[in-house]
Amino acid sequence: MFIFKKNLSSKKRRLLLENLEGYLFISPWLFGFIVFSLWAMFASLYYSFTKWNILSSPQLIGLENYKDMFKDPLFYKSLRNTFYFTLLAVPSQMVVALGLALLLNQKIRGQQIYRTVYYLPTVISGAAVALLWMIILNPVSGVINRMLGWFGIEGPAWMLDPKWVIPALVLMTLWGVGGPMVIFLAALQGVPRALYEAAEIDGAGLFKRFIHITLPMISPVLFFNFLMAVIGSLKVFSSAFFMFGTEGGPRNSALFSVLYLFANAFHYFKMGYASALAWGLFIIILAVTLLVFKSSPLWVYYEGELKK
Amino acid sequence: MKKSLVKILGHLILLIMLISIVGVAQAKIEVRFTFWGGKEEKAAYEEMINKFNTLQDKIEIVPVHIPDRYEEKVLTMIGAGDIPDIMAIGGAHIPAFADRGALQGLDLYAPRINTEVYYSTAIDAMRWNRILYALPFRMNTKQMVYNLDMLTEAGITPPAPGEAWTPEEYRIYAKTLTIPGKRWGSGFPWWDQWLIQFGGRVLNEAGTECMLNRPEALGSLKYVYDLIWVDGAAPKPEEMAGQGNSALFMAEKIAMFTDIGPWYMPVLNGITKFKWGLGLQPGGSGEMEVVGLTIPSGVKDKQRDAAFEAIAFLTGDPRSQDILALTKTQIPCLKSSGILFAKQFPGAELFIQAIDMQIPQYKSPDSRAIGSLIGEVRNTVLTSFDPVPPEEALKKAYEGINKILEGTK
Repeated sequence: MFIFKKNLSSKKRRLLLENLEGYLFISPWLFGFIVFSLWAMFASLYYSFTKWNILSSPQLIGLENYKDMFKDPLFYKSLRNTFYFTLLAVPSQMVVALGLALLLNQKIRGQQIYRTVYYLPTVISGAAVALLWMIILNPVSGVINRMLGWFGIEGPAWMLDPKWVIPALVLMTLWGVGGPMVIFLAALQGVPRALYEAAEIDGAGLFKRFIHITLPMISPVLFFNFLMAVIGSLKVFSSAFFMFGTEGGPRNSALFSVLYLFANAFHYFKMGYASALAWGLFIIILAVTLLVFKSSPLWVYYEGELKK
Repeated sequence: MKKSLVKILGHLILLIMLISIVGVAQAKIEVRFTFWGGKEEKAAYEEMINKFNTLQDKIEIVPVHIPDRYEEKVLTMIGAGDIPDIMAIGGAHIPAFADRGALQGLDLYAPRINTEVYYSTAIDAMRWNRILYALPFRMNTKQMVYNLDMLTEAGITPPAPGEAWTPEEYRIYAKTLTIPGKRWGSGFPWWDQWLIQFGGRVLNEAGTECMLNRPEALGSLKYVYDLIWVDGAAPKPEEMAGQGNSALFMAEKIAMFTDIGPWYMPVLNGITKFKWGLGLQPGGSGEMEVVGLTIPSGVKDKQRDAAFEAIAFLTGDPRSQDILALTKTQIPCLKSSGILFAKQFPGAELFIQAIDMQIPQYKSPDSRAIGSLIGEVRNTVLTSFDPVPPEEALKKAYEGINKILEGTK
């Protein structure tokens, strides 16, 4: 073996052995990633160049699936729905998660209980959540429309009116902001008190302290949560699937990209085309992610970082 | 000492080898049977499987119950090469699998199949392009259920046994039974069934032509729209409050509804607040579901023969099909077991009578894609939010379905 070569210096040999140890420790994860993720990705890339109905062998057809994708009106409809959902869901989730974290960061009694209560919805399964929200969003007897009725407001037909389907699904996602909330809470607790005290002495009010101290200090975590929210929203599937199946809701208002991909794969026997849709979505998510990364130097502050 | 030890060891090894050879020779052929269904269905099928397994010692059926997303899971299994030996399949889905080479025809076993023992509609539902791909296992025909107390109070005579109201009579009675703010005369009318009740079809029998351009299609769609929005005799989708027709019926919010299958019987039998009755669907016709047992491609030789023996028993032997009849919630496809089902509860004979009056679901290799377009007609016309005129919705569906049938999308 290379590490046993005579000419190798002892330092190099030690380094190589250390690296080998590291790879051995991560080998279970590496194996899982290669077999269940990387291999699956390359397989789907291959299938995207084939006509494959799952039940018989795939036939290579070159770029036909990609050409069909660009001519498919439902592909564009699903992309529009997905982006609209993302535009509504991401800021809402960030505001609600940060808001809850700020409230929970106060020194109040029962803080641990509140944290648990707000985190609990995150661990409930998708199907149960969808069923619960179908009852909550019921236009006649649902809790939300009843509460709106107390103020004389006629609530919309959430899941029946195409205009309100996506806002209803965004509302559903807000119930599960426990994950980002907990991360924000940890970041808030890491902001040095001395900074707030110094700002108070200088006469900064609550709002100015929030804008000039809190936000910059938690900006790395803000960046992380924002990115995760964007990626998660672009891949939205289960809420729409459990509510509407693959029909995509009234007038396809809940036909998201992943849902459309699923319908093509398992209901229309077009696994090849579904694979092309998957890669199309991957490239879009990658482009958005790179855009977010590129913008990060403008608004993300890392302690100890020297700005040029 | 050493020599005798070696001898004993040698004899022991020989004995073990002989036992294992005999064991292998006597081992049963295992056939895996995938099916969907709730708790009661699972219990009934497992009883039928146990019956087969105990009556002979050559074949063992191993049940593989898939409670959710059955079609997706079976497709994934087949795609991964993990092919089941027997697969439950809806008659409407046979063309999708058969045309893509996933099913074996049963013509090889034709001399051993006596089609006369099955209901002819059921056996026809298992054919595609004149090839028999499955044997019929169970089916659901549809009925109308009514609140007898409400009908009596309104002076309406229920349909006589074996006779059906016309759609126009149903509409008149639904209007009579409606009390605004309190109850509707009819449950939400599912257009898919009413299309058939009007004598219409989605596709012709060969599955090659869309028939939504016929007057029955427009007539039935306008009928259900008017029942809800003009007559106010049925709830709008938003007024359903997320409940199904059966829940509204039990809450006495609707006086009658159609499209009920035998699986509703446990729910209906639990009603004690009022008297209810069953009747044939208005128009007499309707769409029934037939589920068959098929052998996927890739199952060969001894395994295939064993699979056929198993499905022949499960579908064609009274000892198996009688178990289905006694569940009172599933109609057997074997005629003799159907006679037993007809005696299980008042009104059961109507489900059997409907077999000759109703038609199986339409068949096409692209039945799902066609189903989406049918769903779009229903959702865009029967809505309070910018409804599309029925003529426009049907025209769009007709053009879309014809495109699918021509092999493009």
